[in-house]
Amino acid sequence: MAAGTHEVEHHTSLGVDNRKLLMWIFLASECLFFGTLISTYLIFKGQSLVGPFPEDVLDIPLTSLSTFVLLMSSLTMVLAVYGAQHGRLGMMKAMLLATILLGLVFLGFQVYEFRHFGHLGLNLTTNQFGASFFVATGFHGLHVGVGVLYLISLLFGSMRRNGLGSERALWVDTAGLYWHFVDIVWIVIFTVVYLIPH
Amino acid sequence: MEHEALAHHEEHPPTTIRQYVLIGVILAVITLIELWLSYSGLPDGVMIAGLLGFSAIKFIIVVALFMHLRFDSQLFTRLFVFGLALAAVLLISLISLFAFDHRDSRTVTAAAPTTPPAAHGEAPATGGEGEDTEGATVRDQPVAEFFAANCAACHGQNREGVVGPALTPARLTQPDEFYFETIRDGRSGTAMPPWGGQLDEQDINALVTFIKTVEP
Repeated sequence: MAAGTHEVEHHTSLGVDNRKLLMWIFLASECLFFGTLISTYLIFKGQSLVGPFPEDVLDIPLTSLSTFVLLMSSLTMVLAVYGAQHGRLGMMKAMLLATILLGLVFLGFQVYEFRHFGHLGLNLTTNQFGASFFVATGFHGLHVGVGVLYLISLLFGSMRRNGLGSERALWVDTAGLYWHFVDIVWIVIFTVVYLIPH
Repeated sequence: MEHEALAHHEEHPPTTIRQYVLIGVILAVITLIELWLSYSGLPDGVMIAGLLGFSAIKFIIVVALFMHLRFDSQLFTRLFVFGLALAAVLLISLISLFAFDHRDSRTVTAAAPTTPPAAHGEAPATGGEGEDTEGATVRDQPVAEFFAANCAACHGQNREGVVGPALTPARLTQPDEFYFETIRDGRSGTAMPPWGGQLDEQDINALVTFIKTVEP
């Protein structure tokens, strides 16, 4: 892995790398996906006839902690991108691993929360709150899970003899875009579902 | 360790590690402020405006600096803002379509055919007969009979819940007004039709008392 690694850079008529463009188009479409889920949650807000109601089950301090975990994973992710861009591979791998672990902790919180709500009698079919809550936060959790797999694949890739190859910075950067997007979706969900009074 | 010659001819965001960490700290502090706001007991309007404002700031910081849109091609920014704008339009239209629609005509035609359409203008002289639920009537019918004829299709003959939720005293924990409004205005987004056109206040009150106090 020596100099001259950038000969392979893609030249496109738009002047931007088409893989990165693909990720941004995908994220733009994801705005609509989560926009729909959040709209549904807001439309059903206060419409549930039977409990458990949001105020009976939501645990704001606990979720604040998991929100903090996800926020910190964004920081470790951006540091992994930094490492990849500046050729600091040790830092890149360590920060990728940290991001994966923080993502798993977030998912752990979510699994705990879902099970806890289940014990309190709230599930997907209990009422409008249950339906819209589990669908919105569940799809977000699914995205975190996909992100974790995405990052694990990068981490394994970086441990091969050639590492992630000459386009390392691009691969990690693109994964970072996805990861940060999942974080900003949670910023919105946390505010709309948890913090705004019921 | 390879400090390749990448660095200078690649467009890295100019942010340093120290700045990234600082941004992370700022985001954490904003989250703490939001948490405080949600417990602050401020008026709902102020609180909601504050919460939305702070999360918008966090959103912008992450997109501009962590996703480095600020230093990247304008094309990405335009694409993403386009997606966000579409999502905002979607959110506003869906909410205005449903949230302010208390008389959803589809639900009326779908779920209300059991109500006799006649006698709409007849004087509802049924009130005042019985305060106790046993003697209470709805449109001159005993409450239980009215329920069996008009509500049981969705809520079950024993109010155990079918399409609509179960309506038993143990499950109905909201104040009376909530159920009063539900019967009068219906529930948008569900099959529950508004009954305000067919039932007067006393009828609805009799129904509320019935479902909240009489065990099936």
